[in-house]
Amino acid sequence: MRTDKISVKQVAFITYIAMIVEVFIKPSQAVSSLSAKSMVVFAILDAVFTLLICLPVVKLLDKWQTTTSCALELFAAAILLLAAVDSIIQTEGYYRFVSDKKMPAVLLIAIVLAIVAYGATQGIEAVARASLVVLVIFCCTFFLLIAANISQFKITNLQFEFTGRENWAKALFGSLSFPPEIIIFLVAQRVAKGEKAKAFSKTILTLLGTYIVLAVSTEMVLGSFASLQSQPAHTLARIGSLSVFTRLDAVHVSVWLLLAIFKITTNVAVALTLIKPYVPPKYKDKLIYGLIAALSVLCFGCYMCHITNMKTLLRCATVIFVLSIYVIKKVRANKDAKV
Amino acid sequence: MRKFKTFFLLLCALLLCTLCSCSQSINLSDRAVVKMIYLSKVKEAYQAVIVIYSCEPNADTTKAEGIAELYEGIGVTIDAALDDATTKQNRKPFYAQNELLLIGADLAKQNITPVLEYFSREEALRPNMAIFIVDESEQAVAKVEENADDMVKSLEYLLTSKTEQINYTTRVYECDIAQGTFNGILPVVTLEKETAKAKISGLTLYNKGVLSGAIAKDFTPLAMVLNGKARKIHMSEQLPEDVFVDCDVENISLRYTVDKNMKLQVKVCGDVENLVLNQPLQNTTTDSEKKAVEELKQIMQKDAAEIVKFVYDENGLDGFSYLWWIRCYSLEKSKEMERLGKLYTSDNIQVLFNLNFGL
Repeated sequence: MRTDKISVKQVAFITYIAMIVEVFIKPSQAVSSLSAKSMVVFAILDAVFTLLICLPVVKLLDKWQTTTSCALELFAAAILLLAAVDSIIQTEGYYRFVSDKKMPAVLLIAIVLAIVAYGATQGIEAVARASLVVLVIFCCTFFLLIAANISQFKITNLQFEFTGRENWAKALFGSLSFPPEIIIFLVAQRVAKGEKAKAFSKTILTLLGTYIVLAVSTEMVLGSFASLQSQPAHTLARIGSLSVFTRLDAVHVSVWLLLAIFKITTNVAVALTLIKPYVPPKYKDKLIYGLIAALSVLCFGCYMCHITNMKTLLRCATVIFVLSIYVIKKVRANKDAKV
Repeated sequence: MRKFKTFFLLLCALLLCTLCSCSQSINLSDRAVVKMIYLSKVKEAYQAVIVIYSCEPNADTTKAEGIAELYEGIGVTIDAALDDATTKQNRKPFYAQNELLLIGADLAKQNITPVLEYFSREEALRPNMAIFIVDESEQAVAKVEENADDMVKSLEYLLTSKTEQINYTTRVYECDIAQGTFNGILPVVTLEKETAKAKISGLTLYNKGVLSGAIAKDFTPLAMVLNGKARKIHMSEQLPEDVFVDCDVENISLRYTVDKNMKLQVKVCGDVENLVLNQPLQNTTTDSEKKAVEELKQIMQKDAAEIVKFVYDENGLDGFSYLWWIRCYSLEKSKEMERLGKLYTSDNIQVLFNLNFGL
């Protein structure tokens, strides 16, 4: 990895893209009975909570510029690889949902993994450089989606009440709280230059802003109809029309696929970086094949066993990882002080 | 090694040809492009009529045209009826271009919620299909059949018409069925056999999925103003002095205010243009026109009050989302009013007109 060439801005970009995939496909993450008001409040709480816990860790890592520990790094790699598997399964499900002709899951997973293998071998630097292009494409699509629906905005669609009380707990731990992609920032920032804590805060706040815009727009256009949709953002793309273009779902689907593949590539590239130091030199070049093989087995295993959602598990693992770094660093700092 | 890599990449590229868009593609001529769905009830069964456009291959692209064809199906469920209609031709139906859903009078009189629920499903058709109630059932199919192409074009014109600046359409996603029943307003169309045109002939009101009332054709433009879906309307009224006034009300906007007593005031603002009187009301033309506008305002206010009685009633119907503004003012007070049974009464809504003339 040519580490010295990554800027903290690029790290923020790849983290943002990795996190936005989930938001872009579905703002409410299976909690569709919630009103936009509830979703926004829970998202703000989640973002504040995430910042409160992660910022001290980001600052600590910034200070030391050293790796944490072997076990923790391998744990982080495992979380990222599992998150990649989760994303591949979700991508396959979404692609099946939007397609007229259903493509065999095996074929889609194989194609995605082939692209990911190529991307990941290029290293984080290449992924980080590509992030700007992907981000620009995403921003254009996002603004296009909103602009295409502005004429349908109805303020009276907004709900006043905190609806869906039975889903509050799910919403609190489901929207923006501790996505495993935080690890991408924590790992990649070690080798980046710039104000890391500031960049991390900006990433989370931009993500929050995007989430709020999407949640409010969805409710202003669809109103209560949104609760009947499993993919409200996709429905917005189907409804939106701009000039002669009376539907934008093809654009939405292709850009979302691009984002999803980019996210999976980032996860694998970062996991590769974490695992590489602990692999004997003669196997380093072949490590990617091993990872892709492991991912294939996991993907097909999940697909066969109908495991479609590992988010709660991954969020819990991320919290454990972040807190572990904090504890280890504090203990080391105390030891250093005594010495 | 390099040769192996090149060969491997070429093999991967060739494998892409096995993807569905290459291997399972359907030619446009094998597609039946559905442009309109008509749904009604015949006894206990659903009757579905689909208007299909088939693209005939033509070497001269300027002469390539779609030909409208009608297929009818009957089934116990909507799915079965649509399947029955599509299997009567040998092409694969393509619903992605369809923006028109017509509901026959027989079906419209029953609980309409299951129909809307069916079309709200994601795997169903487009969520932005415009729904129209046809004011008759028996003759409707025959009328469409006779000149399907013109009829579809006429209905599509209603969707895109900008000249009148009234948006009559209610799309599937605009129908509030989240509570399990449909509450709202749907436009009614009359299919004219002679001219092969579809014209708006009123509005139907649904409360808890059941037809609860109708707004007549003459009141429809004003109702669309109160619904916030009209920017310009044409008024033609007879004043108490037996004088006929004819004018356009343009640049219409609505302003909502709620007072301390939780009464909603809807102020309709607009500019009166192209005013014509068949005889003077006062000595000077200016005075006559001013008086006519004042009297027109009174008539519109009276008509608006009648419309509000229809769309905001004690049974919980809120066709124009007036409740949102009341709740916006105080959610607690509105809940208290609902508990006391004082919320859904048209006395809580006052419509005022502020018509500018000669500015």
